[in-house]
Amino acid sequence: MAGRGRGRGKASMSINVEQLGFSKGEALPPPVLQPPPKYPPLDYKPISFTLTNETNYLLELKRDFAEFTRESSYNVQPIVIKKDIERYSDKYQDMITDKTSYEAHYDWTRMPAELKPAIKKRKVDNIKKVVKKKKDIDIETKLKELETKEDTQQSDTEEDGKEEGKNEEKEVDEHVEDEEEEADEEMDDGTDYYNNYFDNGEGYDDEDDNLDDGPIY
Amino acid sequence: MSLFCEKLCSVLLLEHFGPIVQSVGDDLFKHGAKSLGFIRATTGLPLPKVKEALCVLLQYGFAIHRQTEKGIQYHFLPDKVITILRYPRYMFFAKKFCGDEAEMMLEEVLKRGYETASQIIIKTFHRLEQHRSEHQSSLSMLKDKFELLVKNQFLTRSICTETMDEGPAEKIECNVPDLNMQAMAQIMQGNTDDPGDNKIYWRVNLDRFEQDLRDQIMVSAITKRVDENAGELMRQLLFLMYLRTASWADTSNPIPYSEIKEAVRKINYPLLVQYLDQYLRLLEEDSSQFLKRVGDSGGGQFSINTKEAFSQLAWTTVENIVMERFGSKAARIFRLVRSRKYVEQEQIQQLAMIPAKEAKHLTYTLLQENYLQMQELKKAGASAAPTKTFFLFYIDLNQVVRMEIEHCYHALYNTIQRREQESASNKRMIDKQLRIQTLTSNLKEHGATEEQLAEIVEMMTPSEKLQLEKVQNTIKKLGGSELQIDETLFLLTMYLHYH
Repeated sequence: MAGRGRGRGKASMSINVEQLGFSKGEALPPPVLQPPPKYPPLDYKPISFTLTNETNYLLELKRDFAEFTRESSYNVQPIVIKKDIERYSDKYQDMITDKTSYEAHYDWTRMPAELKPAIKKRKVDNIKKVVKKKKDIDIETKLKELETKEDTQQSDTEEDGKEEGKNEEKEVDEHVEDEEEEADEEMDDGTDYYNNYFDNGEGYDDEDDNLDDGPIY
Repeated sequence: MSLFCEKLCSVLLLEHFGPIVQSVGDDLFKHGAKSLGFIRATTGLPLPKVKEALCVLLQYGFAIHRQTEKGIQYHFLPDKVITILRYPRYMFFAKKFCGDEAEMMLEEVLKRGYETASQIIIKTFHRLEQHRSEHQSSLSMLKDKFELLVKNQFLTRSICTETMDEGPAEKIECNVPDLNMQAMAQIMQGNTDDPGDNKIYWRVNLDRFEQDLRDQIMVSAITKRVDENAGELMRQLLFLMYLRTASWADTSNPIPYSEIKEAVRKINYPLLVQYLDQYLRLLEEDSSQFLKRVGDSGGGQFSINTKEAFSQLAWTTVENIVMERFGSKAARIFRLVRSRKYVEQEQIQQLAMIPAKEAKHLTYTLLQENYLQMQELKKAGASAAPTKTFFLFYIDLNQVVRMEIEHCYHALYNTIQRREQESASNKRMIDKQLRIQTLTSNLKEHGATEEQLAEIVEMMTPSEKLQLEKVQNTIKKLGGSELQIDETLFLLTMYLHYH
C-alpha cells in the first residue's frame, strides 16, 4: 500500500522539465549513447592573422636562438655505446664534433663541485689494456702447459700415443681440440648414458603372442 | 603545477637542449627538489650525462642549487623555461631602446646564460665584423653600449652564493677601462689575455624586461582606447611612477600635476601639452581605471593603479576569448553576469534579450566549460527540491584566468608539437634546399657562370618548390601564433601576479 502513490505522478523525472526550457508537450532529446567525437566540429573558427614585419623579425630571433642552443655544446649528446661497423666518415665526424669535456665551458667557482666530470676515463682504459695483456699471456702459458701434459700422457697410454705421434707436426690448437674430443669419448664411456635402457615396445607384442598361443592345460 | 605546464617545459627543453636535458628537467619537475644521486636513479641516465645536463640547467638559470644538510639539492624553475618563448621579445625591446649593438649583446648573454663583460663585447664585435664590414664599430663604442644596458638595468650582475660583491655600478667603471687595450690585442692576435674582469658575470635582468612588457601593454591599451597622445601620457606617467614607487607595487605613490606637466613639456607632443588637462580627465574618468585622482592639492595628485588596470585587461581578454569560442551571444551573457555579479537564469534571458531556450543552452555551455560558476541558494528549512532553490550564476575571474593560462600552455604545446612535426616530415626537402643554398653561395664565391647557377636552382622541381613554400609558410604561421599565445599568457600571468 505504501508504494501505491509512487507510480501515480505524471512523469518519473525528479525535476520539472519546464525548468530546463522544454515546453510541456515537447519531446526530450534522446539519451546520448555514444562517446563524443574525437575532433568535434568547431562552431567558431579562430580568426586568422597576418604576419607583420615585427613578428617576422621576432620569429627570426627565435629561430636563431633555438638553432644556436641546439648546435652548441649545451645540447647534451647521448653516449654512443657501440657502432655496428667502423666507417670511413667516422674519422671526419669526430673532427667536426667537439670532443672536449663539458668541464671547460663552465666556471667551477659558481657550480657545485659534485657536477664536475670525474677524470677516471684514462685510468679505466689502462686497466683494461693490462687485463687484456695478462689474458694473452695466460693463454700462451696454458697452451704450453697443455703440451707438456700431452707429452706425459703419451708415455702413459700406448694406443693414444700412436695417434698423437702422427699429429705432432700440426698446430697446438688442434692438440687442444683432439684432447677435448678424447675427453668427450672418455666421458661417454664413463657414464651409463651410452647404454640403451629404452624399450621402444617392439618386442612387447611378440612376447604377448607367445603367451597367448594357447592355454596350457 | 599542471600537466601542460610540464609538457610545455619538456618540449621546450627538447627543442633547445636535446633529450637528455629534457628528461632531467622532467624528472626535476615531477619530484621537486632532488639531489644528484636521486636524479640519476630515477632518470636511469649515466651519471656523467646527468651532471652535464644539470650544468646546462644551472647555466641558463632554469634550475638552482641549494646546499642543505642532505647535500646539494636541485630545484627546477618552470617559469624560467617558459620565458624562452619571450626571449625574442626582450631582444627586440633592447633593439628599440638601445640600438642594434645592444640587441646583439643581449642575445649573446641570453645564449650563454651569463657571461663576462669582456667576452660579451668581444663576441659582439666579432659578429658585427662578420655582418657588415662597411660600418665599423669600435670596441669603446660597444663598451658604451654595454654600460648603457647596465645603466638601464637590462643586465645585472650574476652573483653566485660564494662571492658576495658590492654594487655593480662601481664594478663596471673599474673593470671596463683596463679591458680595452688588452682585449683589442686579444682580438687581433687571438692571444689569451686577462681583460681584467675575470669571474665578474652578467646576466639578463628578466624582471626588468617583464616590467617593460607590462608597461608596453598598458601604453598600447590606452593608445588603442583613446589615442596616441594619451598613450604617450601614460608612458610618461609610468616613467614618473618608477621614480617614486617600487616597481611591482599595486598602485603608484601620488604623482603631482606639476611634475606631469613638466615631463610632458620635455617631449615633442604639442597636442598633449595643449590638452593635458583634458587628457588627464579622460584617463581618470575612463572605465578602465588605469589612473586615479587621489588628491586635489597642487592641481591634482594622480596615482597609477596597475592592479586594477590588469584586472580590467584580464576581463577584456577573457571576454574576447568567450566571444571567439562561443559567439557574440554567449559573450553578451558573460558580460551580463559580470556586471550583475550574481544572477539567476530567468534574469539572464530577460536582460540579454535572447530567446529562453538559446539563453539556457549558452549559459549551460559556459557553465560546463567553467567560464561561469553556479551557486545554489536554499531557503532555510525548505526541502531539497530544485524548485525551492535559487541557482545563481557568477564568474570567478581568478579561476577563469587560471584555466585560460592552462589553455595557453596547452595551445603552446600543441603548436610546438605541430611545428616540429611539420619540419620533421618535410626534413628531406628542407635539407635539400639548404644544400642548394650552400652550393650556390659557394659557387658564387668561386665565380660560377649564370648557367651553372641556374642548373643548381633547377635541382628543385617546381612541385617541390611549391610544397616547400607551403611548409615554410605553415611553420612560420605556427611560430607566429606561438608568439601571440605567449602574449596572452604574459598578460594573464601579470594579472595573477597582482591578484
